[in-house]
Amino acid sequence: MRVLEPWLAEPLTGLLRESSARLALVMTASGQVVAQHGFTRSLDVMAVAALGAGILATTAELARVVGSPTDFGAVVHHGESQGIWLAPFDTPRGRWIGLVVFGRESSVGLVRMFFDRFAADVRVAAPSDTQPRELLAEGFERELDDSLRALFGGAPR
Amino acid sequence: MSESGNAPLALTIVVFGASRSGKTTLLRGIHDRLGAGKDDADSPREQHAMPLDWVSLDLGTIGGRAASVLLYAVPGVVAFDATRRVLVHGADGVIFVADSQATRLDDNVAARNALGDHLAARGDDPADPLPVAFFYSKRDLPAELLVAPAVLDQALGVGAAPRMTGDAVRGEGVREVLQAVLTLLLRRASGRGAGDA
Amino acid sequence: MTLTAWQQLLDTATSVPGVRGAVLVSIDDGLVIAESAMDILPTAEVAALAAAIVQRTLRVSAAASQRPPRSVRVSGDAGTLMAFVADGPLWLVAVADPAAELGRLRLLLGDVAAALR
Repeated sequence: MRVLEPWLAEPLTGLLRESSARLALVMTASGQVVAQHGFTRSLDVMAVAALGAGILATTAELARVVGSPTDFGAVVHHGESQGIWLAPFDTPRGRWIGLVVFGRESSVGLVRMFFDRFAADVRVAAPSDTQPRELLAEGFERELDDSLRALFGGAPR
Repeated sequence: MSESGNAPLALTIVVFGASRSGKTTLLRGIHDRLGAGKDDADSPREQHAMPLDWVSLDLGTIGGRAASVLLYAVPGVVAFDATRRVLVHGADGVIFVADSQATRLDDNVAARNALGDHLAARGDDPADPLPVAFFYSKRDLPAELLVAPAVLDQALGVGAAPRMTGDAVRGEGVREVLQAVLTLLLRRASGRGAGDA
Repeated sequence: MTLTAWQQLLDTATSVPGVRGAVLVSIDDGLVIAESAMDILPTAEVAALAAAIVQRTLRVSAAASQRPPRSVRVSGDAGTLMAFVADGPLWLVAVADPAAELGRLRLLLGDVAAALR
């Protein structure tokens, strides 16, 4: 399991254990991975997250185009041996997206049920951050410069 | 993960421009010039051989927070306008890639106008606009094929925004334009305002 | 069979005193197809969990080279869950209080499940 914020670990473990799903990703609305758990080693997690966020963005746009007052909520893709549950949920950190891959040992109903519990658990576990915009410490521009120089090691100036 | 417990800073930059203006080449330029030693233990090495519609960078700790940036190349084809709109909607910053060839001037202007529409649709506070940096690609081509940067500046309404010229194939100007837009959006994220010096 | 006909059969299944609800469940995806239940019964969760139980039971019987079960019953201190195969992947699931007449309920559910086919 990888989590960017430690309080996510327990709800995510519960989701996978209870729903018998194969893997779960949590990402921001723009597709950046916040947490991953399950059989993710064989996967290009960033690509899956970006594509998942793209699907939800597209369905939200579809909802707008057909005049739906709200987003469609969850999107389910059901294949022969695997299914994908993709749904947004609100957290104190903003709107996040959950992507759950499940096989025949689970079901849409089971994933939906435990995903709803997961979203509720996340809302409870998330630290109540009253500051929506956390200031960056002084000196971030120099740190950015250092970081990019390190990343682009040997790049022509 | 930030040791101080501060929330990580996950940034999204959309690379916008006309079809075949050099957007994916810019991303490839960023990717190919990444130094060694920054490999994430969990990311497969094959990632380095992937087509580059997007690139993710771990910036380490910036201003006390773990920072990462995801760069997306937005489809240049007008048929994907809805996709472009939603991607711009979720962006923290934009790199606009303009093809420096004279024959592509109209395409550049059309793409710039589309970006303007998408930015307007976001409804940002005019005093706190979404950071945009410009990159004029393909400057390695013969001079007689190219438009002078000043002409592009005016045609695209660059104004005070950062503007770099370069050649993404050889990586020229790539780090600079990335740094320019990241600096603007980090200033914005820090509450210091994109326009502050 | 129409949804209205399903509904009438499910209403019949809840006529036994102590039955909190009856749900027609798609076992493949754990979703509610039709229901007749008290408001307090979380039918979506009953369907999801009952489907998980039935799926596992079917897998166990297949692994043991047994014929697939036609019904599954789970009893606890707080009540009983009974599931009867109705039509292919559709199963009739009922939840009853501990005091319910389980023998009568079993007979009735068997008839209703047959009528649902």
